[in-house]
Amino acid sequence: MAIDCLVLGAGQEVGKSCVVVSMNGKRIMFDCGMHMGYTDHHRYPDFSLISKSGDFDNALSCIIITHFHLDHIGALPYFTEVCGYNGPIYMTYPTKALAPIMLEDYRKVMVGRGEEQQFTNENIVNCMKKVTAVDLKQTLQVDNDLQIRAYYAGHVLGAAMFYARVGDASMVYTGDYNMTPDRHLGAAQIDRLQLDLLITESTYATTIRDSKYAREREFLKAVHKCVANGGKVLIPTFALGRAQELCILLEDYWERMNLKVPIYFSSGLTMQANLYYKVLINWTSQKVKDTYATRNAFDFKNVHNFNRSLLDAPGPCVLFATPGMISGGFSLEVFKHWAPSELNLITLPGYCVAGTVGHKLMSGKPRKIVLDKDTQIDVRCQIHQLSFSPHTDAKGIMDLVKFLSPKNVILVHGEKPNMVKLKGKIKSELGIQCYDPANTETISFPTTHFVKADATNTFIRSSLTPNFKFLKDELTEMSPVKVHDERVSEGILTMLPGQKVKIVHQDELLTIVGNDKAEVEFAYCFALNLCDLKNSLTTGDEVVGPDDNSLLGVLNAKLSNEVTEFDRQDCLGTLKVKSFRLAICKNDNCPHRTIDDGFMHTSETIFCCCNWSIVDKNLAWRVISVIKNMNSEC
Amino acid sequence: MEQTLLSDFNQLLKPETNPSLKPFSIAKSLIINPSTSNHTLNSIFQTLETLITTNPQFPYLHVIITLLSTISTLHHHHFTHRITSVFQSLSTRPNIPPRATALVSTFSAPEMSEGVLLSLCFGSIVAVRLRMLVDVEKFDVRPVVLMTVLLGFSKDPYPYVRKAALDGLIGLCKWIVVDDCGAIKGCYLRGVELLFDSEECVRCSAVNMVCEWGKLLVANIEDKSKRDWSDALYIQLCLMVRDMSANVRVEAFKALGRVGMASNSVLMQTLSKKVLPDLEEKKYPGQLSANHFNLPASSAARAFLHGLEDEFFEVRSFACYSMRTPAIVSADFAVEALDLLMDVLNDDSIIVRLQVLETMHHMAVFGHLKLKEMHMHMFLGTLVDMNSSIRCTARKVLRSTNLIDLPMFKLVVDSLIQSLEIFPQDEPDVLSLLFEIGRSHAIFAACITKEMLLEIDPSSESTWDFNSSKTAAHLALAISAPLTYGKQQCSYKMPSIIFSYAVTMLGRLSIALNEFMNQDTLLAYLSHCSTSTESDPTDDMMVVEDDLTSETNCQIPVTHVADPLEVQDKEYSYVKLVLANIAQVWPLTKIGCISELLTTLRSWKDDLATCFMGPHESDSVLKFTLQYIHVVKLLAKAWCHVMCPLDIVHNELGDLGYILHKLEKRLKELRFRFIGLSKEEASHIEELTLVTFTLILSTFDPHYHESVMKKLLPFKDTSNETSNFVIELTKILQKNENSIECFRVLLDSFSFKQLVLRGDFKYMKAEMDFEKNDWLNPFPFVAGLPVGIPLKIRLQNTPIETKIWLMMTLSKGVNQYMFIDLKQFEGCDKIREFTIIAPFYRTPKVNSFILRLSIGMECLSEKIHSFRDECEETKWVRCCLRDRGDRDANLDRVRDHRYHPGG
Repeated sequence: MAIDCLVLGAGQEVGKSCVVVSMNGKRIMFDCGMHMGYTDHHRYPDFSLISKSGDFDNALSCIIITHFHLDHIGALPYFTEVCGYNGPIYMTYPTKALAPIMLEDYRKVMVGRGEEQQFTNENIVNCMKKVTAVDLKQTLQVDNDLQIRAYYAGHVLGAAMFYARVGDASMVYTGDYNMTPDRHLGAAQIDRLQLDLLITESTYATTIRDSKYAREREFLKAVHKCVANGGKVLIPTFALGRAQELCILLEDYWERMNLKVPIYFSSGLTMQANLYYKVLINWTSQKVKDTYATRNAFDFKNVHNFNRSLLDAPGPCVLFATPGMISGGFSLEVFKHWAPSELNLITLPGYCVAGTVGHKLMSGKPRKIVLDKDTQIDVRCQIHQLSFSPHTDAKGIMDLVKFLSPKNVILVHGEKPNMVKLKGKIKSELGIQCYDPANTETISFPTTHFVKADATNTFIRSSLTPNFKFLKDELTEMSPVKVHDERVSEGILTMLPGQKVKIVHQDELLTIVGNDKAEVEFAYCFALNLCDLKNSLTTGDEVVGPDDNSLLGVLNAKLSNEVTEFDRQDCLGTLKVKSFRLAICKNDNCPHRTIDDGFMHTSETIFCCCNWSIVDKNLAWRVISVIKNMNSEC
Repeated sequence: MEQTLLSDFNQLLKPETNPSLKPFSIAKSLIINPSTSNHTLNSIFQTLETLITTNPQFPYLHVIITLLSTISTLHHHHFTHRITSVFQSLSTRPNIPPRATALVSTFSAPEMSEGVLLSLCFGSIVAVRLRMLVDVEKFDVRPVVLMTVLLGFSKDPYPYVRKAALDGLIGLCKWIVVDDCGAIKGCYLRGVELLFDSEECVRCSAVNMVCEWGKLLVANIEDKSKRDWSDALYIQLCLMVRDMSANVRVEAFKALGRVGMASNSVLMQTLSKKVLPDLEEKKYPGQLSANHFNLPASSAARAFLHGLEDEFFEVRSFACYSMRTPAIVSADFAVEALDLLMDVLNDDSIIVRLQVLETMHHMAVFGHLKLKEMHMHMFLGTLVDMNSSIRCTARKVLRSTNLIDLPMFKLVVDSLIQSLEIFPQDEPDVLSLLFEIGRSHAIFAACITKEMLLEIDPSSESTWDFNSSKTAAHLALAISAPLTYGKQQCSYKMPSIIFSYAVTMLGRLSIALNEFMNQDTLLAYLSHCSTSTESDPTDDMMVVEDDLTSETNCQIPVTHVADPLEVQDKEYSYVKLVLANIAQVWPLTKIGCISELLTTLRSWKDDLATCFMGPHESDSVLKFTLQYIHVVKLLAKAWCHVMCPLDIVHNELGDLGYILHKLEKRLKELRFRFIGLSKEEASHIEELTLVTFTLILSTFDPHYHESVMKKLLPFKDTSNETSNFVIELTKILQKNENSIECFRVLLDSFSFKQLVLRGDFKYMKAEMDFEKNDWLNPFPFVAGLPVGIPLKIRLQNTPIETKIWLMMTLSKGVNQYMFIDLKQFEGCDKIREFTIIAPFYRTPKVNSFILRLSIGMECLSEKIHSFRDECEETKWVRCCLRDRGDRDANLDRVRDHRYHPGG
């Protein structure tokens, strides 16, 4: 069994998040976003890779949307209404409520820009009808095999991480998340799960942010300084999320400092969003929830609706305008008016997509911004870059990976050079396999494979009762005193031809095999790299080709140094220590072979097949570890 | 009545009736009634027993068991035997009801309870196992067995069993004595392993378990890996502050607060986001994640930052709390932590803000609070907080804060006045605070007063409101300046008009200042200062001053005479005479007239004491002489013991070992407690010490030989000796002879020389004061948590480099030492007064205990290199502490402790 992970978007880039994961026969699409930087076909994920025929209903088991940002949901109406997907879609309640607003807003912007309309208002409405809303920590059985569960992710209202499980394979797709709480949202929260795969965002793969207190202080200082001098402050934000967080912050500060400068929200959209926040209080931070009984944190006292006539009115003010990256819309219009004055202040969000005005302002200090060949804007105003970001930083990603300790990690939603660094860090510090696939790439890896087996009554009875064993672990010496509960390891898995797989108690084995004496033998086949062995070989006078006997000779010599019980027993083709026997395995389908992913398979890889009887269990593992260590010494 | 109920009970339980709960409620009322006769109880028991043994399918089995266990707890001595048999019949069933375990705890025989515990735990019913493990402390099980069982069950498949096992191990750690490091390490590492459990409740217990066993482990390691293990423990706990469960995070910070200390670099790492260079490659024993077995130091990065930014106020609050000890231990940490804490003052939760201020107060008390300009805005904002306890705590912090410059001082005063105007109810406390900071920053106070005087000058048509709280505040500040803690009092002369103004506010001021002086004293002080126009007000201020010192910590000016021997020649001539005569009378010992000698010495001692009554009481020369006579007395006694053992008087002299021990100690005191001894004086004392050692070596006690020889060995190579005795001794040592005989012969060569005092030395003195503490007003503590004991310490004639230790003795062998770094406190060598809060960590699990505190000085003699000892035990303070019952860790709020001399 394996998990295949096809990255359709947000592979080594930020934008159009879309990952299709197949596990145990089920295919789930996580997020269906669009790229804001493109207007051509690059804007949407390449859905044809899912199904050539366009029969998406059969190709996908379900779609899961983590939150309402367009780069996570923007392509959904297109996919359902235009491409014709009719299967189940899951998202949280707030996302379901807020997504249509976002999509509709975007559609209007597109129409306003005179672009070709990709989907209609009706499409959005129809698309939303197919959505099943889920609650936090609610386990949902999509079909008989697939179950999903949402966990709180912070980031924006209603953002969730999704856990999916098919049979024995389980994974988590984080979407965007935040590990530190802010003024209005809590920190991401998840259980410690046994995972085969974790797909995590990596927007800030290398940045470690300073304390949020310092960020708040700097922001307030800049805004206060500007309005005290009579300047105007433009805060371009997304309608949902940052606007509310900054507004709570400003509102608190206004109260404390007794400021009377007006705060405006540019569009009805934001006011409407505030309404949602008031209703969806359950999805906000602990603090907002705690104070909810006395005062709703989203009842802003100092906030008024903005009127276009106020654009050139004298006197200081603070204005929240959309969109966040000044890529167009109202914020661009205000920017045109306010940028030429030195008194004014523009705050920029932590991240701007390349190609937007925000991105131009961030990279260097341009004096002039060229919008098109007719429009140029003089930029003389002050610029404050907000480091408020609803994304977790590198430390947060590491903390989450550490906490979940999955078998594999896939990084998406980040910039390549940083992702490579983070990948290295996850591998070296946590020892977890990590990948950073590009778009359209597929990554596969094996999953835990469970075998269904019957168990005999004796074994079940013995498993119910504790059975302590004391042992001294000579290999690791981790803890000198070890008490172990041996009840499960007393079972033996038997596979008899024509019968079901069965676990029996070790005492029962004799009666089953019907012999007076039975011996349990262990077998293990493992890979060994030749390069280091060659080094050992060349130390001799002549360079010998790696024939089996000379290889065994080297191993033989090594072992006699390291293992005290070892006495040279030169049998042709095998190594022997007591009951332990080792031979070079030529059988590619050796049943005892284990697949070790951390191991580089090259042409120089050989396999050693060993077997031993139970009495020499410890000895055998010691010998194997000595041989394996030869690999790592090289 | 009883009979009626009993018959009802029996009636209702007839087999033909439908079973209901009614009869059992009747039975219960009978059982819990103390006047129910034994006969009735017997009968009920009988019925219940029959029910339970005959009909295993009875629907109310659990009710019966509850009743039986009630009987057994209330009247157990009558029924122990029968309960046991009932239980045995129950435990043979394949599915023993978990409730039955309640019966076990009433068994009297310990060996039986161990067996039962084991058999039940290893049974197949999980609920029973859980029940037994939860109650494991009630059973009398051998610790070794218990530890093994608990360790084993910490890997049980059922999370609540794992949790119970961990909790059991936590309990076990507190009362067993394990000295096998391997076993402790094993337990600790098992705890570490379970930090990565998938269940939240297990992780919570694991955090506690790791903390307790980690502390035990660190305490048990003796080699140089101790530091590493203690750091490993700290980092391991730091790792848990990023857990996803708020409960685990709270536990983690609580545990960090309990562990308290780690090396400086680790502490700094907890505040920094970058991996510090000296920790970059460092790996500690422990676990980073479920399958990653070693702990890089970088795991501690930002631990406190994460805590302070947490979503839950409980976590933020405990994060603040756990920063206290590190901030006390490390000054660097305190500086960095303060920057963080200042931002947290912006927090929306009152509890968190309060905790921040408390932490700052701790830092201030230990002199680690270094307020900077940039902090002031945030910090002074708390003075006008809506919440009164925040304002109060902020003022508490200010009381112990040192303000570095005038602008900062002004800022503080202005903010205080502003807060006073908004919250007039705070007046007494604010005025008292102003008075106090005025005294500690007299120069600044004087400056501000000067400015104020210009404003209120009646000639300048000012509109100053003389009745305002602002005036009261300024006056409180102004009158404080002459009573400064500092040295040059005369420089802060205040215009007398200020004091005249102050008299008009006598009522308000005296209420505020009642903890410093009463109204009469205040009036006397004010009226004195207001009348004496330009004369030095400090003369008469002494009156007030003395009054002040009795209550507060203020410094008494000590009249010091430069050369006492010359000025007061009359008294000191007597000292000379006595010292000369001692040499004269010493030969009496050689002829055995010990009692005569002792009488003479005693009379001299008495004479000297009367002679120096009055002003010279604390005179160093007198102290020295008295002590010297005492030494001679002891020496004479010891001499007689050794040299004339057959003398009849020796029976009255006391035990030789005791005398010699005392002698050695007194000599050491003479040598080290008087600083500035001349060379002659020092070498005289040294010679007497050598005589003492020789006396020891010439007795038969083989126990003394080793250690004393060691002490003597450094004298082997001394060359510039003046006395015959020392030269002889050196010879013997060089020859490496150590027979008793040769030492005894050596003693004959000793002749007592006259000591001539030059008198330039000073007597070192330490006093310790622990206010208002006696059996009626014990000092509160929370069992198991560290307790901070506020001590006023006063040191006289103590050079700054003196190493002072505080020893806290709980019982024999349970000592805790605390180093007192004199550099941290103000004052001069001559007199140094300060208050410290001595943390005592190992508070026992008892309701009250007595802690013996003593101050000691570490003396390292030049010649005796490796010899370190508390040479000086000055004062013993008994303080009794009693658990106050509440779980408030703020121990320093308590005011009711009285000094209780003892020892």
